[in-house]
Amino acid sequence: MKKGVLLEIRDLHITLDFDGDDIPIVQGIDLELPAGKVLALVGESGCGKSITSQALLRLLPREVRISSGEINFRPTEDQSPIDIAPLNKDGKEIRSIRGNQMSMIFQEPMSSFSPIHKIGDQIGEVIQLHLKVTKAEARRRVIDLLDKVGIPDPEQAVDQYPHSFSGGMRQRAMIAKSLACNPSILIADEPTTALDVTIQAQILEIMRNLKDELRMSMIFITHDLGVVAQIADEVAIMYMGRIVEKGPVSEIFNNPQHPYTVSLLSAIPRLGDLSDRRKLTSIRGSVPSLFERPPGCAFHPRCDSFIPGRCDTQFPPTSQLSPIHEVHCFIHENTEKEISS
Amino acid sequence: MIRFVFSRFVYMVLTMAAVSVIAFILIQLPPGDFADSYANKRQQAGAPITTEELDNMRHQLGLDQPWHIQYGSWVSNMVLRGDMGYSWEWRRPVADVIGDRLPLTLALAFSTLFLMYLIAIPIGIYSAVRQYSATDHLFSTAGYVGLATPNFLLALILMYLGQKWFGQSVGGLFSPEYQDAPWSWGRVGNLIEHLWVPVIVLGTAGTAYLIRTVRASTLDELDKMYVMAARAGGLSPMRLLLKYPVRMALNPIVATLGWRLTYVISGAPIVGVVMSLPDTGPLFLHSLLNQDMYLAGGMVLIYCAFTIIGTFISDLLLILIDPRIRMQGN
Amino acid sequence: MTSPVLAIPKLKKSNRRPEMATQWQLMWWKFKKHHMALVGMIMLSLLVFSAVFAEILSPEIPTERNNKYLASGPMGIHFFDSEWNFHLRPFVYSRSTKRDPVTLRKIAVVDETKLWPIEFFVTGSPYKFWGLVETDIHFFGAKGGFVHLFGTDSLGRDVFSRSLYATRISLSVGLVGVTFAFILGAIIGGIAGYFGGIIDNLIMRLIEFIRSIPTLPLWLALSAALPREWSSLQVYLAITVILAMIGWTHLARTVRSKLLALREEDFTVAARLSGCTDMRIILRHLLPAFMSYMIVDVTIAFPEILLAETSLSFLGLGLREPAESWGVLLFAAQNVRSISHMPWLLIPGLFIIVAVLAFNFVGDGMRDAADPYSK
Repeated sequence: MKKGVLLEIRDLHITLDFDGDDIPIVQGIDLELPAGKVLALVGESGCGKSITSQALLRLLPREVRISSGEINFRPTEDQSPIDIAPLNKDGKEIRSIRGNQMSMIFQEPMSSFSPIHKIGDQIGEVIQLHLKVTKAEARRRVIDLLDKVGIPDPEQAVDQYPHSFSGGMRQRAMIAKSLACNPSILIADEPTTALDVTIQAQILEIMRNLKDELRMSMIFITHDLGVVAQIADEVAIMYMGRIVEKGPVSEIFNNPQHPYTVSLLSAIPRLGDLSDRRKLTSIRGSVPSLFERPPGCAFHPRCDSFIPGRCDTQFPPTSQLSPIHEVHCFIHENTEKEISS
Repeated sequence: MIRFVFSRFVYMVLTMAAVSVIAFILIQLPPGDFADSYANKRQQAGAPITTEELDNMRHQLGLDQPWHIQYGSWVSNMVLRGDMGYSWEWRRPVADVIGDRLPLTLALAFSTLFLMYLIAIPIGIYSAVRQYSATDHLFSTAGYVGLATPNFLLALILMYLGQKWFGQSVGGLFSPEYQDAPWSWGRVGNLIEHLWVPVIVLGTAGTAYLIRTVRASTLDELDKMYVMAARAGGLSPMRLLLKYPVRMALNPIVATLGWRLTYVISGAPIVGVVMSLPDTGPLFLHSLLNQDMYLAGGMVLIYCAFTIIGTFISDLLLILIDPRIRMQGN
Repeated sequence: MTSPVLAIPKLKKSNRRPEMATQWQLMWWKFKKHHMALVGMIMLSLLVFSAVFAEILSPEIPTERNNKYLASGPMGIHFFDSEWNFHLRPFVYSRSTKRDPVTLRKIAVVDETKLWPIEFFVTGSPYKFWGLVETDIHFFGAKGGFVHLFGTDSLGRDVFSRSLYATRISLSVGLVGVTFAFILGAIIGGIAGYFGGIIDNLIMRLIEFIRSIPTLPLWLALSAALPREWSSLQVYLAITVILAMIGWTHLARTVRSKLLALREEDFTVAARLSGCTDMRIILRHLLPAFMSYMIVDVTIAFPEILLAETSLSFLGLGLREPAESWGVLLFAAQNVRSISHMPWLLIPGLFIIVAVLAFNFVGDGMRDAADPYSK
């Protein structure tokens, strides 16, 4: 494992068992999460980004499984990494990581808490489970956490049921729960998608502050490039179970190289561009179903730079445009050669 | 919460009132009245009654009053004095006739209900957790057959098998030596020994149904986001299962407790008749066949009363286990 | 849960184009995946077939009494005789009558020396097919004697033939009852969903009320109140109406809730905005959308009514002889003594179990299929 990296995904394949047929959902992705950084995983719905994030904590639904690959994880740089992929799905090892060293926030704050248990009990449960503290200490810690994520009157909130919380409040509580044991990695699966724009901004603000304060690393799953710009350091763009381009956020935004990234970026409005009267474009066609995955580069039917006989026969190899920017596209095959030669 | 309890209570009283009207209509439904059938019996006995006597009798019994007055006196007698009218066939007050046999019906209904839940909840949860396993398939197949067998048919089959294998009748609730004995521990023990057959008969379909409900609602909960969220916190599978999905799945089960009771009470008369139990079943059927209508109406009323009270109790239980309802109206 | 897995349409063959299929096609694909539902369909078709052709399929007419075979058990059909000779044409052993030395009653005994071969499309007792065509052709019969597959009752009537005739009556009671329930449920549910407000509230309370009282005692009491002198047709109609009162509440609820939900659906609003008339919206958009739910509820209501009819008739409060339903046939098996002497009288009960099983299987398949877009 490289220096400064806490989590490393190597050639990860995930398949869906569909009536005995194996349908690939994620096809060999490689990712690295450096300590203290935010890695954004971006793609349209159904591209496999949520499934990838669930695979990291082995939370995959029953019919979905990791078919091959490695997920190497170490809580701190001086510990030796363990491979999460072959662990027992609900065994002791993975359970001691979940909620403790690596925790997760989900998309739907309204349904992420059990409606019939008190908020404080649901957060305190994680603390008691991993930190071996008394109930009273756990409760004090929950109140601290609720205060930290900006919930007013935490002394009272701790004894309330989720239905008396608004969506934004529940997402704050969810963040409190995920931070309860000072994890080294936080996985956030579209944490702001279901929220109003103003609340979205507040939640992002809290997450960014707490990340710095607690010196966490974060994997941030989203389809919203606006959110990426606000919070991420590194970006990986996914399309139909594969990473098509990755690099630092400024590099990807200013110098996108994959046709898919380019069209994603041109589909978001920018304030400064108003004078240019630049047209907002949408991507042609729609994401095909998993059963009709196009051969080769799955994006080719929607791509303007489609090279017949090439893109539809094989998936493009990695083109290392710069030490920090890599892309999978045949139009860059030669570019890489120029750099390397 | 108090408002909720109060509104459910009001609803219970209203339902009781509506049921009493229905029971009264049932009493009035057959052509002719009590006096007519009395005159008929006298005629058959060779001592015909005069028209004058008949009118007198009608007047005395209030049968010449308009129906709403009759209803009023029927209800007020019942509420104030526990007087449910007179059973022609038994020549005793209806309340006494029913009172003799009601405890057995209740014992049967409640032990059935209790066993139904005791068996169905663990099996339902197990089937949900091991969805599509061999055990799951086994239970769901058995459940289908259980649901499809009318309970009187099950009773007949069990009675036939009992006759064939043990050479004895499995009907009845007591051995002959306890049949008319006063209550004693021995008699209670004897009752329990006999009770299991009618309990099986009465409870099979309900248990099958309940297993399906528990399984479905547990499966439903297992798919919920909060279960994954709790798993992401590091809980062990067993603790997670019991604390969240199972606990949640109990809600709809408790909420329908009243309906289950309705169902059991509904099936009780027919099982009582088939197995010739000394409970209210045969009493009810004979009162219907002989148009002993005050007794029949009283039975309908009692059967309904138990399920209505049962529904009320299940509403109260729901408040205890579900904070969302508890919060309503606060 | 919104994990992306669930967004995958559960269709196996890639040559299927789910996005191009009609709702009914989607439903059929889903229904076909339910093996038990297909089994149920087959069982139902067999029952319906034997109900329709009851007269032809039964070797005897149900009122016919066989004095040579009173209260005797099922006669087995054999291919091998007692010396293990194979006969291509199946046969039953002949029966001869003897007098029991103790009770002096006539009893039938198996006579293995004589065989009665089974023949198909034989002539037998004359009957009118569906009360219209007079004929005497029976699907099968034993040459030179008689065949009672399910034995006979105490009057010597063939239980097999009676079961087939009873299938016709029982299924038709269910069908008529369900139709009444359907009409009642659609109208009342429609009123509740259409008017909403107080009327809706009242109707919902009424349904809640009906569901909270024990139905069977009530229906027992109602049918006990039917005048004794009524003809069996009158009783039949009255019983079906009473039974319909059991089934309508579910249907009314479904109609109401679907109506309320669909009224607010985007596609309804879209249809209205694009200028569709109300009638067109109801016929083209709403009806197909909840027709499937109605069908599900009907398949669920059917066995309920079937079981209720059987229970009523079994207790002697529903249909009565000479009408034959499964319950009426079981009425003869009401006490332990008759079942222990003639356990074959319970065979009509198997028809009930099979019918209810079939409806439940089909109902489950339909319920899944009704929502073809669900998981």
